[in-house]
Amino acid sequence: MIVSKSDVYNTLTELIVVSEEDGYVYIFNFATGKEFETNETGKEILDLCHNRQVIEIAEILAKNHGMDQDIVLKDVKLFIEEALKETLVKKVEKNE
Amino acid sequence: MNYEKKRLVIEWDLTYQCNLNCLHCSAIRKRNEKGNLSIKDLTKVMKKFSSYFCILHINPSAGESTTRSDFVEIYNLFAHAINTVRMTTNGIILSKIIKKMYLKNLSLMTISIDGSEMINNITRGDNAYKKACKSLKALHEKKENENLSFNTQINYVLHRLNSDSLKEMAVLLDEYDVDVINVIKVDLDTGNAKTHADTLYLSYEDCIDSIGELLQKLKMINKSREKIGKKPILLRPELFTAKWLYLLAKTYGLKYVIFEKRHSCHVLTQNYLYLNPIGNAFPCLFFTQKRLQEEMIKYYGSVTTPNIVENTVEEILESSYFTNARNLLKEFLNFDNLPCKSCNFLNTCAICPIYAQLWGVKNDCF
Repeated sequence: MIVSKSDVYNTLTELIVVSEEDGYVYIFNFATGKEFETNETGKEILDLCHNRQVIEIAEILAKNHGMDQDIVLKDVKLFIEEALKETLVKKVEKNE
Repeated sequence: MNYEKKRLVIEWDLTYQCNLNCLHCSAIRKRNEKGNLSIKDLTKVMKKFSSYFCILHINPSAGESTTRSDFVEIYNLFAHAINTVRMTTNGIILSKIIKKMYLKNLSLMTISIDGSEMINNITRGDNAYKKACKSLKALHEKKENENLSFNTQINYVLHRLNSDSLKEMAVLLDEYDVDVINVIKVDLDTGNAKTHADTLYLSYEDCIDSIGELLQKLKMINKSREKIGKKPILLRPELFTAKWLYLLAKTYGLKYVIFEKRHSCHVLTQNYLYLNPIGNAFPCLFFTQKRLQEEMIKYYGSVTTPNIVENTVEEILESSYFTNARNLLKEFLNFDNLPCKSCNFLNTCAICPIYAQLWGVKNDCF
């Protein structure tokens, strides 16, 4: 699925648990039984996926980390594409 | 591994007799089922497994196999005929016999300990703790001395009397290099556990808190272990529905906890046998229970239970009993009102959906 900058995604907090321990971020999806490891930035994106557009998430991250917004936007899109495949986030449809 | 051979998983209780009478035992009624197979019968049976890649679990559910006077002879017979052996024991006798046991193809030894010395002895009997620890020590020494590669686990049945001492297990686990502690929620529906249900009852919330406390201790101990190159000790919560596993993960984190993905039902997908002490073969342990047997008779009529002495493995797997069992499970799984069918957490829940349909999972679910 192609992620667009105006899309809105919500993290499926009712299905997944994200835990940060010793510098690692662990995710377990209770719907699929799959586990993942990600980094601080991955966790930040999941935390920010709550009724925000992808571009807004990129703006916040770029500001927080002093980085170029276009580069950050690319990374956010890629991360959300992966998160969609693994049922970690869900797209909010415009009429919802 | 011989990839040309078909895989066969066998769970086998060699006797339902036991040398303990634990307060939380839910299998005490099984002791009325006397009798077991002789070494002569077992020798014949081993030949039937030769065309399979066999994974055998000795003593998976009830009784204590080491109480058989010929246990060492049986174990060594299995060890030479079976590819991979797993064993569960209460550890009372193990230290006395372990030197004579051939452990080269042992993959897992699980010993039951349910708390500090005082608590364990109250629930399991005098000196049960010391004897189980002696077995753990003997096992650890044999593993080191003979350069063996099996894993060691502890089964801990969690209830009100031992919930406080669960966290104390961390030191013991570290001392004997135990790989995993399985924390099992007590089943209060049958046996001694039912008789003592008021004493043993522990709320789910308290279960999760006790497990969480142990997990916090393990996190500290594992940090020290990792520094000296030792494997971390893991914790596996058992017989908890996904609701409680989710709460545990949310509250105490995911590191060092084994959350398992549900595998497809082995009755439908694997060559699997549960064998009782007289060799009767069942598609899974639940089929030894009257309620499930009655359901099967209701749907398909009564059929003979196959037996590993009288039948070949192929005859058992293709028998009317096993075919009816598979059909019954398919029927159940297609029920629109199967309570677990619409649950988002079905893939990670430790409870069998058929069990939930027949016996219920009151207050356990979302």
